[in-house]
Amino acid sequence: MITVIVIFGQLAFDAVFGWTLLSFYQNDRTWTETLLAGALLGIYVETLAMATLMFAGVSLVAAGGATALGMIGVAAAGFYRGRQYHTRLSTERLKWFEWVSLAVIGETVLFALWQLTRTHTYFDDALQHWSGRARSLFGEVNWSSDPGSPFFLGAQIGNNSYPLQAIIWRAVAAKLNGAWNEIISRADGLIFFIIIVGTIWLAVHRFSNSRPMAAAAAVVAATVPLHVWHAAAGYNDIALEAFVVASLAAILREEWFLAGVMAGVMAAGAVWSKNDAIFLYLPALLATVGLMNWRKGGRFLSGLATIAPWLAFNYVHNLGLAARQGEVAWHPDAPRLLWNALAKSPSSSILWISIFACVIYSCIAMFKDRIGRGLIVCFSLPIAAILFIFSSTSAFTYLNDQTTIHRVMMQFSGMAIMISTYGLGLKTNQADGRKVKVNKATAGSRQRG
Amino acid sequence: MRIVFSVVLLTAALFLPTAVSAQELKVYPLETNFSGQGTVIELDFPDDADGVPFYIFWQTAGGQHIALSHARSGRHCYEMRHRDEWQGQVAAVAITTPGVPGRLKKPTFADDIDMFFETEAIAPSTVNFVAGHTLFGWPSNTFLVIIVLLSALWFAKFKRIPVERSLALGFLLAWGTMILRNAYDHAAIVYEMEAHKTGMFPVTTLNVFADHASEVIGNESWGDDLNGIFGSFLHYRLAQQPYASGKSDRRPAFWITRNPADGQVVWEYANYYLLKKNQR
Repeated sequence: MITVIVIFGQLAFDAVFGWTLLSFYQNDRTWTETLLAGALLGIYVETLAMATLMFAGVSLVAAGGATALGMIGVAAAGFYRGRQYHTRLSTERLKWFEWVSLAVIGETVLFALWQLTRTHTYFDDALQHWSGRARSLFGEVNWSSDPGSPFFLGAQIGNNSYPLQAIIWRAVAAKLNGAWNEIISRADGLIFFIIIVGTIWLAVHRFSNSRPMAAAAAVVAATVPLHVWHAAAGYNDIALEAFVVASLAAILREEWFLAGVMAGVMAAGAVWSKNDAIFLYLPALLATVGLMNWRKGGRFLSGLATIAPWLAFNYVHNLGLAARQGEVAWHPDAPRLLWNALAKSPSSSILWISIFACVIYSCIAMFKDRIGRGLIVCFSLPIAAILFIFSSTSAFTYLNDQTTIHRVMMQFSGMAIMISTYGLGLKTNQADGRKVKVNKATAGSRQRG
Repeated sequence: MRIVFSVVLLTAALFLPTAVSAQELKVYPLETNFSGQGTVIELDFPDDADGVPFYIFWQTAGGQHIALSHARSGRHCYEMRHRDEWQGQVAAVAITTPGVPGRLKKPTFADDIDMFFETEAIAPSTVNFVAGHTLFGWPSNTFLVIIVLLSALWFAKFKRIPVERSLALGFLLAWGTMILRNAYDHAAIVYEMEAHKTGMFPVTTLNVFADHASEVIGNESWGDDLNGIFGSFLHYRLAQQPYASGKSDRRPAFWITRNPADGQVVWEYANYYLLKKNQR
């Protein structure tokens, strides 16, 4: 019970901080959009600020205390500054299909909760790189900030080139709890899962003006077969996906003053979750911003620049960004294996067949649409990167043994569902003679004081 | 049952944890020299065997192949038809559980339905991919695509819904079918793990060992020679206790191994040994 209170408390602290930060400027978000984005923003700021202090040699407890005080200070200053734009709390009466959607998503959440409470940390990368290092940091005897130590950033148990977001968040939760346990080891996965599903639901509702389409997109995202395992696996692929989805949702909101920065910060959060984001998703998100409104690219980059402490530290200590270094060489078996992974695997079922059909069907309409053009690029670049990395680099091994390919497709699934839904909405509305527009009926902020 | 093989499993590509793939397993034969085309394996497990993991091993001209499966108590078929390596001539097939009568079989309709509802148990590879289900030997994706097309045709022809919307509705119908099948799996997994307490293969016994070993070690240092998922699991479980890495100046006060010959055994469980090392 204490563990649950600790995890909710830490999440609430992050969400309140994020909410406050996001309310500094006039915005067009609903309160649910602000809450979900705020939670991610809080997690990012908390863990990155702590890591930056720890890179300077500060201990975990001291870094945690200083970061908490700083976050409280910023939130309090924002509150007393009197110029905050809080989004209105409002609810809409749910329709029957939304209740059904919530029931389906609820089943997935319940199964993840069962895994968290009745099973232990089990999967290899969680045992090593994520929860293994987090537990080492919590215990403080197998962890060192000294680059000369064999325990440097938990190197004796996992790969110390992997970023520290999950590691620090879990270690802080364990410190607050007074002990490590198997819920703390993996609970953040469920948080990220809920944020992904909620963000997709709200984003699709916003751009399609269609409640059935939004509910359907959320259900499809929630029930991608691999998701239910990653909601309680202790891996960080699901965190990366949450930040990438939040970044795209911020781009689609087109609130360029703050959301332009926010989209960059969320993209930085994706890098802070897993280094993969640098190669697979950053170029796509940046290109999307560029195509939609290239003058706002600077805002995106300024948000992205917040990840600099980690990248600089990584560079200085030569930690590396890729799990496997190797030569570029074409692998003839790759097309067949990629086809199997995308079309035949039950890990994503018929999702990719449907998404490709959707994107192909709507691509002409998408090219004629300013946002659609950006989204086509946002879809194409990660696909191209995935195809290239798995077919023409040493990462082919992970395609051949299936240890990574399906996880990478899962990371990309949230973004792809949003993009294909946008295309489908565009075509459907074209057929109805309507135009896709941002739903502002329930959005909008009001100034406090 | 006579043991005919004792094999060293070398097929890491078949998603076995490293240490499992490196160890020698005894296998018990079911059949030799046959065509795998259209056949499945039928096994008669005892009533208390539900959820017990075992490997199916088979040999073809292409080499050794292995698949992880989980026992279902009573007489049940185990799907093999969807495996590329099962097609064509098979030199021998065997399982790693002794005393289980088994045979090859052309499945009946009832067998196919029974195999479709076989639970997908949690395995170390589950986080990387789900194995999925088959119906009549075909992967479930094939049937889902058929559902999409047939239902879209029905919506378009009889409900006069535009084609693209019919396809979208067809997709949702197929996806809903998949959701129901997966929800059944989730419920079955919960039931089986709660009812049979099968634990998390292959670290079930190591989990018990590590609990007590952690208490014995206390604040002293420890080292080990386990590898693969066993090493990962042990290192995670003891991550709060000083690890004597080979690169550090720590010397292990305790040593965890599967070979008890190297020191004084202070705790053992299921072939895992905690040894007291002499400090130098």
